[in-house]
This record gives sequence, structure tokens and C-alpha cells, in this order.
Amino acid sequence: MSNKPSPQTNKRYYIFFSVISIPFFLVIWEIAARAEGSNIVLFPPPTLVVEGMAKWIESGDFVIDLWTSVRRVVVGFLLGSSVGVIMGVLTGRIQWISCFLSPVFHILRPIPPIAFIPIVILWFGLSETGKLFLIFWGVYFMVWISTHLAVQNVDKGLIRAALALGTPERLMLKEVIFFGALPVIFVGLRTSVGISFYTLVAAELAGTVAGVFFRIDIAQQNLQTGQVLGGLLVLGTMSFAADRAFGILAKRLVWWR
Amino acid sequence: MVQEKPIIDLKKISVIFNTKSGDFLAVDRVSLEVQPGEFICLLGPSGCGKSTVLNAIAGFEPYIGTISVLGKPVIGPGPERGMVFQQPNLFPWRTVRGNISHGPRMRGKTKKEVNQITDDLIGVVGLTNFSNNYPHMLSGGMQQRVALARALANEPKVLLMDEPFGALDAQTRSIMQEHLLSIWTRLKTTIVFVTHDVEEAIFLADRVFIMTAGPGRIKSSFSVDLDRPRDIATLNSQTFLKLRQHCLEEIREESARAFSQQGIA
Repeated sequence: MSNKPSPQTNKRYYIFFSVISIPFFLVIWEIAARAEGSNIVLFPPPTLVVEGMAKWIESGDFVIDLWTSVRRVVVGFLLGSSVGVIMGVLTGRIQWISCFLSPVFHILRPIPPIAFIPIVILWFGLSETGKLFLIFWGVYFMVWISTHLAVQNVDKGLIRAALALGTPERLMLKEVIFFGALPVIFVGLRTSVGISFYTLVAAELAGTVAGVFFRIDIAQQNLQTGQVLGGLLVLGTMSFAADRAFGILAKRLVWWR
Repeated sequence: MVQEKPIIDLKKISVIFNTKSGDFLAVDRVSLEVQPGEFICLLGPSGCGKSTVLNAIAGFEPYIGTISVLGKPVIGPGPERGMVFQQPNLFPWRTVRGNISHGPRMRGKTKKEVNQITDDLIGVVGLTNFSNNYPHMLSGGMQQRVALARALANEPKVLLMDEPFGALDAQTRSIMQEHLLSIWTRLKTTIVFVTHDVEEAIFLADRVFIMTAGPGRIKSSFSVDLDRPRDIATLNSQTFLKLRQHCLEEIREESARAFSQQGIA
């Protein structure tokens, strides 16, 4: 008989490690931060992070900051992705539009959105429009290029089958191209969910009065390191939750996968 | 036999492929006539241009010469010419029912007509219990049955089939062949069937055209004088075995030639 553990013991074994993972590292962090020679102000332990978070919530700022940031991401993402999908379908399907617009898009696309902060401040001041513009910019190009490629690379076999079945040209987009491209479009959209959070940080650097990253910035100036780290965790959680939620949505909308 | 007006008429058609290494004659002056209700096979080694001829009839391949189907010149794909490909090419986002009803829907049939045609064909290909399944839930043979039903839903006068059973295992293929013959007997559609499988060609066809590679030409053709309905026993009849021997010799010569040509290239 071999000494190999049964699959069931194996499973319990793995669950054990998953369960202790986060508590274990929290304890290590706590001990390290309170150890001799550590600077508790610059490197606060988790307990002080929790305290910082509690203050943030009690002051009422947390809800406002969270709401402001979520709204920016959602509105910026929706604008950027809807315009991106429309333009991608147009350039992917209509040759002259592609010839006309793609060169411009290809020049603008590689410019990092953060680099637009100075000009965005000049154009839009400290208004919300400027913040949305930055997120829109980050999301738009990703969604445009992935939709463009998705539309152009729809399985030729499906297109031939549709033509042989007498599908008229005017229904081709709605009946075949759109669905055929959808799985790849969704990959682009999901990548853009992440991008919209990067650009959110850039947008909140460009002068504002509320937002999760704005709060991190303020806390840093006041040397409230607990709140700085708390803010980072909130950003991470938001981005994670958005990605998961989008994944679930994608599974429903690309139902045949 | 009274010669009817051919339903498919190819007169000296040639197809040239533009490749990076220059132009390449894929099909060289192929002529053939198919009578209404006839089942013909284009048989030949891979790369002999048999699929290219079929694609030209389907309207997917630009050609030199004249092709007319039902008396009209072929200038593009059309629903009177149904097509079944080697890959099922089913729309993965639609159910079996949705795939089969696609053609009639596109051609503006009423909802009632669409449902009637779809129900009939789901029955014909024996997929009643799977009508609401998505293609990825079906086996390869079932997917190809859906593809066949989808093509038949337009009630095409001509059915073009490009190695439709090539990707199936031997057992499924043989069942599909008999199934196809029984549907053809019922509907009397004209069928042009492309294959590299000698036994498949003889088992199915009224007439077989053997094609040669580089450039693609018709080398010879023969009628298959086997009684219908044909079944497994047909495969052991003297006529079948003789025709098979004849074909194998002709094809072998060709495959060897194609092989050595590829070797040089």
C-alpha cells in the first residue's frame, strides 16, 4: 500500500492553508510592525490600519469618498466602452472609416492617460468632466482596438455559412458578426475594468475634493499612515469586486460559452 | 435516356489563386453537367481542387469560364444552393432550433412557416430531443446533422457538400452516409458531394468524377450502377468492389504524382 493521502485528506489539507493564509500574514505584519527598530508611524500594524479606517468611516468621509470614486469609474467606463464598441464596429466593418480614423487612433492610443493630467487641468479645471475624460480615454482605446480586431476576425466559416443561407448584407452585423465578435469584445471590456481603476488614481491626482485616492493623498500629507494603507486596501477591494462582478456578467451575456 | 436540361452546368471553369510566390492555377478548365435530382461525387487526393470547384459553384470563389445553376450564371452565394462544410460551422450562440430556422427567417418567411419547416427538419435528422441544445453540447455527428438540416431548411434545389463527414469517426460516418441517402431519396435534391474517400464516393453517388492535382482537372468519370436503396451489403457486391479497384488505381497514380510534386516544392 502506498502512503499517498486520499484525495479527500488532500482537499482538507489545501483548505487548511487557504484558511490560514490571510490571518497568518496579518499576524506577521502586526509582529513586524511592533518589533524593536520598526517605525510604527511609517509602517503601522494592521490594528492601527483598522483604527484609521474606523476614523475615516466615523467622520462620514468614507461614504462620500467611496461613492465619488465608484461613480467616476462607472460613468467613465460606460462612456468609454460604449463609444469604443461603436467605433470598433464601424472601423472593423467599414473600410473607408477605418482608413480615415485608424491612423489617428493609433497615434493617440499609446499615450499614457496620466500624461494628459496637465492639459486636462487646463481644459476642464478641477471639474468632474476632467476626471471622466481621463477614465474615458483609458477605457476607450482598449475597447476600440479589441472590438475592431474581434469584428475583423469573426470565424470565416460562420460568415460563409450565413451567406450560403441567404443572410442579407444588412442583417449580417446583427445576426452573425456581433455575436461572433462578442467573446473577444468581452475580453477587451474586462481588461478595461482594470484600466478604469488605474486612470481613476490619475484622475484623483488631478485635483479634487473627494475620492478614495484623494483621501490617501490627504492622509499621507497628515502622516496618517494607517489611513493610507486602509485606502490602498479599499482600492484593491473595489477593483477586485468590479472584476469579479464583470466576470459573472460576461458569463451571462456570452451565454453559449 | 432522355437528356434533361442540366441543373448545374460548368463550362471550362478555371480558378487562379494569387499567392505570395505568384499566381497558381488551382482548377484548369473543368467542365461538368449535373442532371436534376442526381447525386454526384467529386473524388480526388487533397489539393486537387475539388473543394475549389465546389466553392466556385457555391459562389465563394471567383472563376474564369461559366457556371450556371438553374439556368442562371453564378455570381455569388445564394439560398437555392445549400452548403454543408467539413466543419459544421453552426452558430454557437443559437440552439439547434435557432440554427435550423436561420435560413427561413432570413428569407422573410412568416413565423408559422419558419416553425413548420424547422419542426419538420428536426424530425428528419432525428434531433427532436435536442432541439433546445446549444451546438457545443452535441457530438460531431449530431452537429453535422444540424448543419445538414440548416442547409435543407431553405429548400435548396442544389445541395453542395464539402467533405461533410471527413471529421467524423468511421462508424458515425457510415451511419451518416445511409442517413444522407435516405433524406436524398425523400427530397430528391441535386447533390454535389466532395470527398477523398473512394468507398464513400461509390456508395453515395450516381456518377463519380475523379480529379487530378496540379492543376486540378477532371481525369475521368464513371456511372455507379448499384441498386438503390444501398446499405452495408452494397459494400460487398461485385460491382462495388470492381469500381473500388478501378478508382483506387486511378487515384493512386494521382496521389503519387501529387506527392512527388509536393516533395520537389
